[in-house]
Amino acid sequence: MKIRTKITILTGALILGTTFIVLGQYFLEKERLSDFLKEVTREEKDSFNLLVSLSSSNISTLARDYTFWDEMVEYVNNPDPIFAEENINEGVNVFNASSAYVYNIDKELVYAYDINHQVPFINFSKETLEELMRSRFTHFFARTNSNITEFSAATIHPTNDSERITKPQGLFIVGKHWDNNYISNLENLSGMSIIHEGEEIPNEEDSSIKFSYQILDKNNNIIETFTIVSPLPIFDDMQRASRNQLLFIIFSTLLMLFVIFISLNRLVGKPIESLSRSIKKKDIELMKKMQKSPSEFGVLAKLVLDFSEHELVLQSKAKDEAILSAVGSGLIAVDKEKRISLFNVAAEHLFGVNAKDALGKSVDSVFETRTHSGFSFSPEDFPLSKALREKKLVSETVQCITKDGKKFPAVITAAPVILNNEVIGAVQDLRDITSEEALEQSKRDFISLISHELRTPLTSLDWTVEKLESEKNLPLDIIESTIPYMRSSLNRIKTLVSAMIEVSKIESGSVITASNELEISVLIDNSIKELKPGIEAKKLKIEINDETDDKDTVLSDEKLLQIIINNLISNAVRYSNENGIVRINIKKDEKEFVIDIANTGEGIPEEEQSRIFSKMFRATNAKLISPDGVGLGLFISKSFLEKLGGSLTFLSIPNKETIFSIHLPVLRK
Amino acid sequence: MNSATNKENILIIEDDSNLVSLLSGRLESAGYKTEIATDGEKALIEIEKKPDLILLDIMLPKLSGLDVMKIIREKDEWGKKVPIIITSNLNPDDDHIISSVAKYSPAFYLVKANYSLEEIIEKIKSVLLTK
Repeated sequence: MKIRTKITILTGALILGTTFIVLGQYFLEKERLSDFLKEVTREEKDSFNLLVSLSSSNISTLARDYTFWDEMVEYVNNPDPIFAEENINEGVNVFNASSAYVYNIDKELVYAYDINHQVPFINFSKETLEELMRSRFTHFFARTNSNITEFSAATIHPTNDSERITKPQGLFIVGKHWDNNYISNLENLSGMSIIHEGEEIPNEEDSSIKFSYQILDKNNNIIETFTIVSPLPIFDDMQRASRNQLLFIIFSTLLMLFVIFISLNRLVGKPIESLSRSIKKKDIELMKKMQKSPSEFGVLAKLVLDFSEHELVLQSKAKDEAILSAVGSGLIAVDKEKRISLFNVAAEHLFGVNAKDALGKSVDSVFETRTHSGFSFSPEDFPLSKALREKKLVSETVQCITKDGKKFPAVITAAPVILNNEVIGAVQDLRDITSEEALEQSKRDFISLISHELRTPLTSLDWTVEKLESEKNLPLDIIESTIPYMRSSLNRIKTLVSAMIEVSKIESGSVITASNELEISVLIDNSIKELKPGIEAKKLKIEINDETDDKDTVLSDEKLLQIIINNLISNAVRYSNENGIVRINIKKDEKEFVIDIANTGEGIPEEEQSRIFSKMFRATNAKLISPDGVGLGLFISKSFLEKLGGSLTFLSIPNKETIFSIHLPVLRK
Repeated sequence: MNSATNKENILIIEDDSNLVSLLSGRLESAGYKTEIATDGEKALIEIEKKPDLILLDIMLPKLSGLDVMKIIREKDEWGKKVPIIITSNLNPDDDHIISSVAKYSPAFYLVKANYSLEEIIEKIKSVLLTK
């Protein structure tokens, strides 16, 4: 994965992580706020309850106070309107109550008073009054007309019964109307809004605490449910602060991540991407631009450049070494002290020494150099020493002797290696010229052999002419007797010169063939006629067996085929034993003509058979049987036959028979 | 025409029949007695007659001139001293010819093609004189 992708993914993961943290924080904060809200709500509720109970303490105090007077007991039994007006009305007014009711022991209403003079008064049922009489104090709500009224009831006892253990003498009920005045008074005291059931809750901007306040009657039935709304600007501030804090965290984190992403991308992602792109595309120019950067990427780019240059140098060095290794001649490079620094494959082969064994060693310890004729060099005359000393190219033909004692002629070319006008070493190219010398030798041998072969008939002619010149008046028959010898000598010269020309043509590849329709038997007859003196001298028997029809003609080159047949029959005659047989067989099948020319005699020694077609090769026994001869006949015959698309094979059974077979393809005009 | 007084015997070892007849004819007319061997093996028979001088070709059938020369030189006292004139058309400048011929101390190495019959007679005479 690319580094920029990684950075992007990493940043994404960070954003995701941060979002989780922030959300967690947000919910925690929300929970904390909610807890706080509950707590505050509970407190507000308590304080409202306290306020309500405090407000109602007036009527309960009034009720308790008035019900253990002896006068009150007296009044219940014997109601006095003045007493009622002076005490009960007064009490209601002083205690800020709204109404008062007095009942006698028989639960008959004795007196009733209401500040609003609302008539009819509430009629408590007999059951309610009985119930109220049973407990000493009772606090309860009841709906009266349209209002809710809070009541506090107490049983009436004589003054001395402070514990109210005697039988109640009557019932005193004090009421307080929860009218609009009272409610707004409560609102003012608590700072909260009290909203009647069904009334719309004002939608204020500021958040507030809301809770229900239920008014229950004596039987715990809900008479009215108020909604109490307590404004809480602090909570709102807190909420806002918390939200703002959250937003700030989110925003700053995102900003930070964005900055990190951009910077990472710019500082790391981009340079790495362009570096890797330039490495991939081998964009040297871009890397050169990058290496100017003062950051680590500059160093990296420089490093890559250095490496690639180093790599190029190594590659070029490896290439150079491969080229030097591939050079066919032995290459040895030495330093100023003639210690070997390069020893190529050809040198390894020449000297039978591994390069790793030769490197670092003195060149003289690896092989010995002598003059071409085998004399030792004085150290300063070594071609390498000369090249190092005289700073010039030195070339000499020398003899090399390896550590194994192998000798071979070689041409050494030594050249100084000059760097900054200073000789730092030398390179020696060493070429084994064994094969060239062998070629030279074979040329010399050829010339020597040819000259010998030419000289003999020339001598014969020379001496004959000398004889004819010096001995005047020779009888005609003597003179005439010299003619066949001269003819024979001339023929030998002609044959030899022709052979030389033929060899030269073969070697230069300039043998030109014609296509003639030939009768092989005619060519054979020609040869035999020419070789008649030899055949007669050896008393040879010639057997010719022609299996072909008269119509079977060969399409080939007449001259070349005649030379081939001449050579082979002449060999058969030459190497046949006296009174031997020369057998010639001509046959033909679908593909080829085969002419077998066989002779009896010693044959070709088995160990020399493989070389029999080599130029100038003559079998050991052949040289002794017939010392004259240059060893060209078979070479020429085989070469010519191949040129004609045929081949020459042989089979030699020593001391029995030797058969040479000419194979010629059947060609059609 | 010169005539030899002592009638020295000269052995001609040469395989070319034409050269043999020309050489022997010329030597005999010069007053020498000649014997002829046309190959190495025949030469070994002829040397038993201990000729006074030998004309020896190198390239011979059956046994080469060099082998014949070695046998002569190792044969006996006569063999060690008898003058041998090499008559060969091989080039004496060739390294291997010089080295193989020299150790048998021939009286002379003569390239036939470069000598007339007359010159050969002169050479034989001078060699026999210094014998």
